[in-house]
Amino acid sequence: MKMPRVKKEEIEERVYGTKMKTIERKHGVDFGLDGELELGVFLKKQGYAPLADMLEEA
Amino acid sequence: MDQIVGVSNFEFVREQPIRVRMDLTFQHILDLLSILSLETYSELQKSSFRKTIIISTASIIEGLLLYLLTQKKSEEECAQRRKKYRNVNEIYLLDDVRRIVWAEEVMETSDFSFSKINFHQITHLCSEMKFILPEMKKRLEKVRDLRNTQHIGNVDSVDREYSKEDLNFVFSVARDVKKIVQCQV
Repeated sequence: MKMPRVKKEEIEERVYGTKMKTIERKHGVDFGLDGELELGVFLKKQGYAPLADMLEEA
Repeated sequence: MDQIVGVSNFEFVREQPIRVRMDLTFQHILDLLSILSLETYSELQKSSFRKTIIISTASIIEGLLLYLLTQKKSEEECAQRRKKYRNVNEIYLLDDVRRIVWAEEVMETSDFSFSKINFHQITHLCSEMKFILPEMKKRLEKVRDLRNTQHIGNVDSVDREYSKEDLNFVFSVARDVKKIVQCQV
């Protein structure tokens, strides 16, 4: 099966240092967090350390 | 700059279409996990999100291991070889279920295509070719079991709930598989 083409702007790579405000903005939600909090730190705080480990450093 | 564009979490995957698919799936997992942290969802809804996350994480694991296989081995090397006997002739009848025969022995190679193998076959081949240790094979089988309970037509009990521990187990396997593949390609 041929996969549909993906436009470059559809890919928003998330890395360890991606700010939570970026994700909040995308979903139109407020996590009630410091927007400057890094995604990797957020995941660790939520108890998902193995997933945080998968994120690349920026 | 608060949004980092151009960095892949699977930079070592050289085939761009595969890398993009992995990044998109990983992005989906991260989005769902972020949403999971919101209090607005019931436990049942959160369990449904976790199901989707497990399916997506299993597909990344599968994709990584398949990528490893395709980088290290050819389809011919992965195809199974088995002995077949032709022109079987009976020499002596031992009893109702056993007989001594002479025949022509032929080594046959089964049809094999990377595009047609499933999670179980990928795991089996990676283990056979010593890309993964037996312990990892067991963990991968558990991931497959967790994922397979998602098939509605193939269960005999009411769907289970998926916990944070299930997620972390699958994530830990994905993290370790990523390291294994990263080191070997």
